[in-house]
Formats: sequence, C-alpha cells, structure tokens
Amino acid sequence: MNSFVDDLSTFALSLGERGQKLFSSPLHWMMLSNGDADFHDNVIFFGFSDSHNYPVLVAKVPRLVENGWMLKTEYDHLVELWNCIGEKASHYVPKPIALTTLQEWPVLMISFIPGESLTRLSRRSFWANSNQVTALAREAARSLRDLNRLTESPIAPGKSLAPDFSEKADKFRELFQMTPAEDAVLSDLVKTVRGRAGAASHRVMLQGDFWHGNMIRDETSGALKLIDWQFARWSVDVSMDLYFFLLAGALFASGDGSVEQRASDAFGLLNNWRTKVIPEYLSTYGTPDHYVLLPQKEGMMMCCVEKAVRSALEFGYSHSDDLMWRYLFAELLNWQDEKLI
Amino acid sequence: MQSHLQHIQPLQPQAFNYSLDWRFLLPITDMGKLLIAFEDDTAFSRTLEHIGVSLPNQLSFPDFPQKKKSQAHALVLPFGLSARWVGAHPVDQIELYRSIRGWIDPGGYVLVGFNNSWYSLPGAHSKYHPSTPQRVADQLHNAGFKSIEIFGAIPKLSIPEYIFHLEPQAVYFALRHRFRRKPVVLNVLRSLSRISAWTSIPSFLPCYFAVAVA
Repeated sequence: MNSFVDDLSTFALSLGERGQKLFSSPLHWMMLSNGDADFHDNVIFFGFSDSHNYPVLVAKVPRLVENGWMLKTEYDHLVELWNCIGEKASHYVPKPIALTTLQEWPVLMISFIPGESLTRLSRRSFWANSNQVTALAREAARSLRDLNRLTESPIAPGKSLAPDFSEKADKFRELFQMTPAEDAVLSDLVKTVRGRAGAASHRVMLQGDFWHGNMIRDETSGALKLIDWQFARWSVDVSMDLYFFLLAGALFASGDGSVEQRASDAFGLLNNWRTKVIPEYLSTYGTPDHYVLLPQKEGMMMCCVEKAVRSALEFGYSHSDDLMWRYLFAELLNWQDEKLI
Repeated sequence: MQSHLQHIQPLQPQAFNYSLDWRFLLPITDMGKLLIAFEDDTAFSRTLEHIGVSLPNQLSFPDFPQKKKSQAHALVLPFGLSARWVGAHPVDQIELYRSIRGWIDPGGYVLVGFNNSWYSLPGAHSKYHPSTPQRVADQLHNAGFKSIEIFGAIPKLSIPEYIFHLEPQAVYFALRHRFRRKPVVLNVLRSLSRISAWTSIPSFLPCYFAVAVA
C-alpha cells in the first residue's frame, strides 16, 4: 500500500483544467502543522514541482477524519464564492481545486497564495501602534465590505436566514455559570439579534473566522487575501465577521497572562481604540442597507458568545481560549454605548 | 468590577503535547495495525489512543525489543532507538532493525524519527540515540529494508511543525517560513541558496524521519 503523501502526489498528477494536466512531474511536499498539536485542526501540505521555487498547490487534511466536514464547508463556500463573483474571487481568496478522499481521509486542494500570513504581527511593535492598527483595520474593512457587496443577494421568498444565535446562547449558559445580570443581557441580545435579522432583505457570505491570522498579504499584488473558510456561511448579519477582527486583534495584543487578565487587557485596549481605530474601521466598512450590522456592544458580545461555544458545538470539547471569550463577554457588559461617548 | 467574574467556572480544555503528523508519511487507513515503540510516556500513550492506536499496539521497554509482537502494516519508532533497547554500536542497531523487519507485513513500512547527532554534546545523556540521515539510511539498507526515504523535520520530534522532502524547494521554503521573522537568518539562507553550500543544509536540520519498506 502507498504512503499517504505518495497518494497525494498521484492524485495531484491526475488534476487537470480545460483538458490540460496541471502538473507534469510528481510533487514534493512540505507538511505544516496548523495550530500546533491541536487535534481538531488541519495539517497543511504545500506541494512543489521541480521547476518552481514556490508551492504550486496546497492540500488541507484534518488530523481527525471526523472533522472532514470543515474541509467540505470550506470547499463548498469557496466554490460558491467563485461561482458567485467569477475571476474577481482571485483578488480575495484561494481557488478551490478539488475535494477528494484519499485512503479514507478527506483532502481539500486549493491554490497557493504567495505571501506573508499576518498571524505573527508583533504584539509590541505592531498592535501597540494605533496608526499601524488603524491602517490594517481600514484595509480589512475595505476587503470585507467588497466581498459583502459582491456576494450580497436577496433572500429567496419564504426562506429565513436568521442567525442560529439562540442555540449558541443556550450552550453558553450551559457551559458557563452566569450572573443574573449577564443572563438578562444575554436574553436581550438573543431578542435583538433575532429582531434585527427579521428586517433584513439580503444575505451575504460570512467568512466566519475573520481575523488577522486568516489574512495573507499577497506578495505580488500587496492585497489582503482571506484563507480558512471552514466556518463560512450565508447570513443576514455581518456583525460576527466585522467585530471579530477587532476582538481577536485586541486579545492577540494582550500578552501571555491568565485568560482573565488577557480579557481585561483586551477590554482596555478596545477602549483605547475607540478614539481612532474603531471609528475608522467601522466608517470604512460603512452602513449596510439591506443586511444587519449590530451596534458595537451587541455585536462584540455576540462574537464572544459564538467564539466561547464554537469548540463545544463543532468539536465537542473545550478549547483553552473559550474561557477567555467568556471573560471578555463579562467585561463587555461595561462597554459604553457609542451614543453616550 | 471583579465580583461578577468570580462566578465563571473554568472548563477543562483538551490539550496535546504531540502532533503525530508523521502518520501521513505512512498509509493511514488502519491505525489498528500500527505498532509504535517508545520509552514509557503516559501523555504520549494517551495521545496515541486518541488516534486509534490502542495500548496493546504500544510497545515500551521491556516488551520492546525482546518480545515478538503480531504482524503489523507499519512499525513506528517516533523518537528513534532507545538507549535502553540497544547500544550505540552500528552493528547492534542494524541487528535490531533486522529483527523488527520480521514483525512487519511484506510491503509494510518502518518509520524512524531521530535527532541529528550533529547537535548532541559528547557524553550528554539522551533517552534515544541521535543519528544522521546517511547513517540511518545505511543501517536500514543493511537490515534489508528498501525504498528508504528521509524527511527533514523542524523543530522537534514531539511537535514537528514542519516535515518535508529533502528536495531543495521544500527545504528552502520550510526554512524561509520558519525564520520569516528573523531577517538575519533569511539573508544567510538567501546567500546560501546562491552557492553550492546550499546542498549541505539538509545535513544540519534538527531532526528527521526515515521511512522504508520491509
């Protein structure tokens, strides 16, 4: 029996486009651990052919076979995105090439984006500099709004795309002990999310994990490109994508302390960002007419709830970051309404 | 401000200290027919169970290498040859490889992880024998294994963030990716890539996986 990497090469050699083979010689591979040793993450294979210094193909493989649904979600949404906006999609996302099964293991093949991931933007020299953060935030907001405009489409009659937020709120209550005040805020949030969604007439495709770690600065065009679409979905509410970028950035900048301390530090930083970063980010994104963007406090709290329960709902286990999101939810109870500032 | 936070009850997050991504260098359909030999390590053992390698398929001293086990699709020594199993002499190590070849189905695989002896200090105590790609390849060949292939791994055998064919493009890309925040290292790599010294780089990686067919 062949090794998995040999079968990966054989399958890559069989790939073609418009009657032409994509590769003429067997590929060599570099395997990159994604998420260190997290078993619920994927392993990324970069394929090289003899004549190229850069990878010619990327293959994603889940560490656990039961997590193949992530690759299917990513593939389906990338295909939908490419079908929806055509070749313009290449300005924003990798091209989906194939979704297959090798040795009973799911494999997603996509195009390679040459460039630098923003995952390791320096905590001190980048995230502590509000001018640099503002510039990146504006760029991210522009890319997100562009994609939202390109995928915006009317909701089919009789079809509801209200976010399944009440399920997430229930899980949040189940996982974390709540104070009466938090419980009341969460109940109000569920009503707000449902009420606003009811008034939307259009849907857009959410990336579902819109943070700087899933952005690559394209070496050739300089554009920000978005990877890792395994949590993508259609929705009438863009709040998850839009606010997640800010929260993830603030948490990333908050250092290596306890999760409670990090949440507290992130809350402080978010408050500092209220003078420049957040207003410029939100004004660059603009106000959607046909779909929902929640106010800051509600939008950020919704993000915290979704992130705190995602591992439990999707994978059935608790991620070390879950509690940090729960602490940040608690901190955000004290977020002042933007009208009062 | 702090009072309401005291109500938060922490969950017990699931964490792993081993990635086991070397699996993909083997056929991966039946983890139940893998034999894995390593020195006693409860955390590693638990991680193996998580991917379907049950305790009877995990071999530790003194069961390994004395006691013969049932036939396997593949035998994995993820950290190499333990100093308790075999001495440092090449003849002894070849003999050990030869004996374990008999445990593997014809056409099955052996996978050996090892640290580069270039970085081991003389006299330093280590649980497992470090080695070099050439030495391990020669030993496996002399023990009767064929189709021997060596993969580079960075930075360590327990969580190898990068595993790659020792082809120039893959090695260069892995090193560039690994040191993308270290401009000095990147400049050195760029300079080396233009001269013949580049070909010796694969000999100086921190660790490797050797894969061979029984």
